[in-house]
Amino acid sequence: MEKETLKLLQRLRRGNGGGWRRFAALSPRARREAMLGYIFVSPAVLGLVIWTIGPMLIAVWLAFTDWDIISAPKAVGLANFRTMFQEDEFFWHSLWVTFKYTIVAVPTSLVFSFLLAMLLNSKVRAMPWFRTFFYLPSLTPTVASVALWRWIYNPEYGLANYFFRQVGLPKVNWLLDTGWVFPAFWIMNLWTAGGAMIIFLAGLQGVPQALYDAASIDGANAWGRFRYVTIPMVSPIIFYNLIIGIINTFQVFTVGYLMTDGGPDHATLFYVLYLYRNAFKWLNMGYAAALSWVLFFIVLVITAFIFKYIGQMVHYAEEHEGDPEVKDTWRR
Amino acid sequence: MGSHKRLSRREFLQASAAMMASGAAGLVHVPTTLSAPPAQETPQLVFASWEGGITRETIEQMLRDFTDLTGVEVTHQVPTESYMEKLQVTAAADQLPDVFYISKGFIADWAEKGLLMELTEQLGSDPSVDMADIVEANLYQINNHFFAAAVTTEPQVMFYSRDVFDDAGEAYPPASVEEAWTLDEIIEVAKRLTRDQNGNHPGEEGFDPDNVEVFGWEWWNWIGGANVWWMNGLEFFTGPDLMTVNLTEPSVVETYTKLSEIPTAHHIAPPAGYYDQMGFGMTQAQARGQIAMITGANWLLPEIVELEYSVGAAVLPKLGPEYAIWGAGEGLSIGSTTDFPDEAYRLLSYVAYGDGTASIWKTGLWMPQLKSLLADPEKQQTWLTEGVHPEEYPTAACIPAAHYMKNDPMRKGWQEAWDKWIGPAIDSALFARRPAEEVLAEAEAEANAFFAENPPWIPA
Repeated sequence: MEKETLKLLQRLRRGNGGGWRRFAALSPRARREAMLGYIFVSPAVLGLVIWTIGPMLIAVWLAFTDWDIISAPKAVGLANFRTMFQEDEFFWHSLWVTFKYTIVAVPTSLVFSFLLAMLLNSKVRAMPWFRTFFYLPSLTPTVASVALWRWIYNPEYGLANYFFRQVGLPKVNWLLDTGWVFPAFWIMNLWTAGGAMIIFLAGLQGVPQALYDAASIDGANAWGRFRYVTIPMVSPIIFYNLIIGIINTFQVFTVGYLMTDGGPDHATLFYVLYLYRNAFKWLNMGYAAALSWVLFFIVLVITAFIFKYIGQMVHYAEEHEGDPEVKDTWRR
Repeated sequence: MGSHKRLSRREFLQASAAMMASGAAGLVHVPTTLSAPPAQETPQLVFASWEGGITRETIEQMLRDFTDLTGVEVTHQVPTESYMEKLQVTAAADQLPDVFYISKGFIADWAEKGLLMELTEQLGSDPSVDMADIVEANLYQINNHFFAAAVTTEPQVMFYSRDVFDDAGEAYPPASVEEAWTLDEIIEVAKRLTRDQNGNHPGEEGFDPDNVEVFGWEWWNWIGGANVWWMNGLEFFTGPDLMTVNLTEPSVVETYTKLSEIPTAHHIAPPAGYYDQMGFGMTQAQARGQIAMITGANWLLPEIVELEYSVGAAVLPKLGPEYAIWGAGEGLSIGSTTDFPDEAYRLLSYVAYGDGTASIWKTGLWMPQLKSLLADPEKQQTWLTEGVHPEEYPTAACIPAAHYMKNDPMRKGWQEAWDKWIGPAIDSALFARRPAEEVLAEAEAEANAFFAENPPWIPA
């Protein structure tokens, strides 16, 4: 890298001086390099501004309007939020449905994908094939997965009830019974665990063998090595998958839309499905914008809470470099 | 390429400047042309639909015929994915097509917002079509103000397998409204037609509901929608002010209770998920002799013809003292912002009431929208096709379509109330998840509170 570019970066890091002045002070070659950098990142930045930040900001304004997409928006102050919190039973219901889904789907998916990653981290012949095999479902388009799972949950001829029959359990109407539709969705969610699994696998492969060897020498058994080496070393990845999992499950839409269309009896009326219906089916776009911002804040608060209380438990190796206590972690 | 002459920097800049200049000149030129008063403006219409396959080809041929006839150019737009969402965006941008398909759940809302051109005057004075001859259910109106035609006529029809009836030694179902079975009668016949792999029928000792070879009646749950009210001589709304619905009339509750017993007590219909497992639809199941009667609509005919089995047409059973069927045809409207209202109406009338779609009528997929074409035996012969339409079709499908077909209420907020309370309540009652009386009473209270807060738009 050019010396001057390095200098620029250093100055940027220090944060002193005006940006344009710094830019003007560069040599022509460094300036050209900087320009090229801006040009290369501009599609991503423009895309973010035009397609994400722009609509988000417009949605802030729309949240305070009564807008049916077609006529001009009418400012209604806080009316959308008042309706939402005081009158709209479906707002609370869809929020509860989404929360209920998240509270089980995220931990089960995390544990499942982590265990799967550990299994696929072992040294067995044809392991790349196994890894591909377990990762493939997460690449399957949701529509195709839904078709498959509808067959699995078929009350008369599905695979799920076949297994139930084999062990003498009664027939279950998975997708039409309000009591069973959620377990059905939770199980189906594990189908996509491959995405998190591959990240876990990468993390597990990054754990230095030396740590395991040292732990073994110090007398740690398998559980000790898992508890005091594996878990701390991959804790940033667990944390990452937890956050991403929560964000994704709070935004769940497609499966509810395609599998059950929110039924039976609104049992799978997820928050975003309800938002979509308000926006595009019932022409309540202003209200839908308000719903979207409330969801944003709910996810933000939950994420902040997790960062504050669970984030403390995450072990970042570089923070502990040279810390003598870390060396003895597994003995504690 | 090696043979190409390499441009110098100066030549490159000159060429770029020339291109930019000509581009800018073009941009300046465009508004000049558009803003200049046209000497002889040729009407150009945009027609939007969601059709695909052979229907799309027929529509496009019909549009070409329209151009030949009138000199009006028509462009066909087919945004097949998320059609209504895209149409809403074009409406927001004041760019609605001139003539377009519209899901009927949106018509009342769009009419209120002034997006749809009112058709009342044109329809009343159209010399090419007698308004009294149009099937009433196909005219989307609010207080006699018309805002949409139907794309086509889509009546509910029952189809039966002659072979299954012959094998069981049963008489064919009635093909005229006057002779329609009651619900009890069709259940009894369906029980006799239903048999398990040992030849036992429902209600007989040893009948195995898990191994049924032939089902009597695929009742399909959408016969349990509005038909229940209409056939009991009721409407969803208690009055023309469209303010309150009556979902708890004893005859309605009784009918739902009876319908809910079809899957659980009588075992005459395929269970949930039957087709998913088999990997085919109900017409294929009927073609294989696995279902005697199916409740569907006219648009099943092309599939039936393709499957080449011996099929008959019958009327639906009566769920109450009256006979009524649901018309599923979606809307066809004109955008209020069209620059060519007369030409747009002419196109709408040509599509809906002309014979441009006769080739689709002949496949069974669509049906005419004029009562005379549906009910007059002589005119029926101009489109009913041997080998496509079963011989009972004139009385089993055409007459009911002309005289007994009804449609959903045209009321702002109806779709939302249906999605939130009425539809799920009916679903719950039909599948016996909760007692019909209880679930319908709850839905009625919720829907009426919603309607009270959202009064309908009724043009004077």
